[in-house]
Amino acid sequence: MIRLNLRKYLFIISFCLILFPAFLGAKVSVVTTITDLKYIAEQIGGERADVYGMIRGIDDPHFVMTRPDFLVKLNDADVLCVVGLDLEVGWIPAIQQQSRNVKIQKGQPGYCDTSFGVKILGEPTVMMDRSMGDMHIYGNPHFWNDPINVIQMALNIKNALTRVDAMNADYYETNFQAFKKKIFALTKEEMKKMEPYFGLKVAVFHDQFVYLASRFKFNANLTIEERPGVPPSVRYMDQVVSYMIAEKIKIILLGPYHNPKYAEYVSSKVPGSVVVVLPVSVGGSPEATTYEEALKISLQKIRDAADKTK
Amino acid sequence: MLVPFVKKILRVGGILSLALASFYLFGQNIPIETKSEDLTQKSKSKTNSVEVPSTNWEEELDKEIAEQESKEKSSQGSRGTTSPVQQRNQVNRSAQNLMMDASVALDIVGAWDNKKPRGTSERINNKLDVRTAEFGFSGAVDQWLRGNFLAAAHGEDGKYFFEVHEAWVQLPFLPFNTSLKVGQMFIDIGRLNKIHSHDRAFTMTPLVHEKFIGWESAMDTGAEFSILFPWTAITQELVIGVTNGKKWGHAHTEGEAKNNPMSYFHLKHFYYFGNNWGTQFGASGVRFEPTTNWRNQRYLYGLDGILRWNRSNLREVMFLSEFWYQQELFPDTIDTSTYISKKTPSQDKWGYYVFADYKFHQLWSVGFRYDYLTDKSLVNKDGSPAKNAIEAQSLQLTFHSSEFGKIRGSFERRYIQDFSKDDLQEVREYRMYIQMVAILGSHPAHSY
Repeated sequence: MIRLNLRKYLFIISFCLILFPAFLGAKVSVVTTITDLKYIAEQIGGERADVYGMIRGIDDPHFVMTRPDFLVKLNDADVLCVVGLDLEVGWIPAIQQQSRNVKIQKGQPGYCDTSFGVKILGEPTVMMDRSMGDMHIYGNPHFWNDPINVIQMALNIKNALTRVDAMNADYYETNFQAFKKKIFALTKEEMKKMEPYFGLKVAVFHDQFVYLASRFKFNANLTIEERPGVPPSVRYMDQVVSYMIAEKIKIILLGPYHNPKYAEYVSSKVPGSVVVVLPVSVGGSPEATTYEEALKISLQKIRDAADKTK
Repeated sequence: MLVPFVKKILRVGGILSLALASFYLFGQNIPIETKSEDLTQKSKSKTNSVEVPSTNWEEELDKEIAEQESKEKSSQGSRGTTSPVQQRNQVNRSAQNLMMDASVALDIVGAWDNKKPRGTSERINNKLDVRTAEFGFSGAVDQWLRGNFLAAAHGEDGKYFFEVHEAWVQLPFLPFNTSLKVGQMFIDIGRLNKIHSHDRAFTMTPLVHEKFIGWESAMDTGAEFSILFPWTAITQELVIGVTNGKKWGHAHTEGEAKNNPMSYFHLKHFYYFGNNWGTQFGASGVRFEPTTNWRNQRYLYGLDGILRWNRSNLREVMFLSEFWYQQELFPDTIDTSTYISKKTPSQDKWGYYVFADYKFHQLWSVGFRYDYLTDKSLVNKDGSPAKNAIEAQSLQLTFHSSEFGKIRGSFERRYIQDFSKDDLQEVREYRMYIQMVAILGSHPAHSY
């Protein structure tokens, strides 16, 4: 009888001994929407986080199918990182609710809205309605193109990781400080390179470069899209052409997932103008393998275009 | 006589002198009070000077003007509907949503055929009509529950019938990846049944769906349990439901008074190939007793599948299909003269549809659907199986004005063959449909 009990206890102890280190060594499961968030989460989480990005750099984060395989990923997640400001409103809320994972619901420790604390641009100044296209009522959500905002986003991710895995708080803090230092140095370096181009005026297809322009002091307010998310009319594009000619704007920027034919049409009507496709996000072009590379490539392309169209 | 007069003068003089003295003293007091007021003022100003730090207002003004100029410069070219520079906190009127999503969906359909106004349940009356006007509210009830309410008015022969489409409460975060839904709902079987008519990829309900389930979705009140399996190689979800089972399809009545619940299941799979190609396929089964006699049973078995690819909202390819087999069993009949029980033959029908849609432009898509339906229980006069089928081919063009609106035109050729009848054994019909869908307010994301 005693031997039997001893056996039972030995079994329980050995079972715990096997499981306990497994729990200690378990990685935090992070699911992110865009690739930039995936990259930042990888930098902060390091080897102690397992990061899954739901979409690719060449996918438009506004329009994503609610794929059921995302449900399983979200079901297993400790942290869900979203850009926020309703960028992912068309797909994230549906799969988040269906994930059956209470840890990543809004207001829970595992929910990380990276727009928290970011200086938001593009807030509506008039009451919006759908006749104005796919307007973001909380402001422009493309804020990750400003590297200083990326520091705030990294801080939000670090805080989320710390909330769900407080044991490794110091590790995440160290990674965050290193990342912050790197991004700050990159910003200064790129600001210096962009100095001769301060005040440059460019046109954009979608209003997604306002943060990049605000940081690196160029003007990107002229949009070829008449209304966000809606193909522009020829009448409006002709107005854009006139404005570009009058203001001597010769560069049109667009993302990798946009239909280039509208920008090409406008460019064909503005003598000497060029269409420049920027990576926008990590993986937006084959060379943009990191956030730093994506930013460097984007700014270099703008400088090259400015030199070419002088 | 003199003494009283003197006394009077003295009294009056005393009063006057007192009055003069007091006047003098009052006059003397004014500067004292002024002084004290001055002191109070000074002390006040001293207090103010302590509270408000001295600032260089000129510098502040310059800074404000410079900031305004800088914002003006940065805002150049902006249309002013959004601000490209950071503004002080503004009241965001667009963001007020009463903590729940509210929506209205209008589904306006015109249906014509080349024969005549038919006035059947297929809703072809050779006129334009509001097929459904649906409104709904959904949101979190609290941290445990979510609620959904959808009501609709159907246009039927010039009248509008209001009914509750869905009214359910869900427990979305139960243990072991499960969830439970309780209330009235569009039951989770096949591909189309959970999709409201305005959200479907075509105007008219496929033949097989219309004949077996109804022109709209089958709905009933009960409970639906769902489990999401944890494996990652393929995504798998099982839905099991039990409902009152008093009515079938989209009936607007309470149904038969009986205690025979309807039960169903739907096993769904999803596989992602990569590069935005994905497929979802499933199998469903329903058991229903149409009458109070428990020996009268109806079984419905279905297979559904969708294969789709998309490049954001610019291009999309979709193949969609459903196959349904319906079997109805009847109680044995007794020959009243011989009292011998005789087995009643079952009714067996099956059908399917295949739909392909190609979104070749952000705003335009073209689609084709083939429908087939046959009733295997129809017999000729000699008792042999009668050849019969309904076939339909339809071509459609959709203009997607946005995610919230669409206009669709469809043309359908229908061939109806029934050799169990003596006349009209073969009929060909040509139909045309126009549909306009408008969604106001918030609309939840569509499932895959």
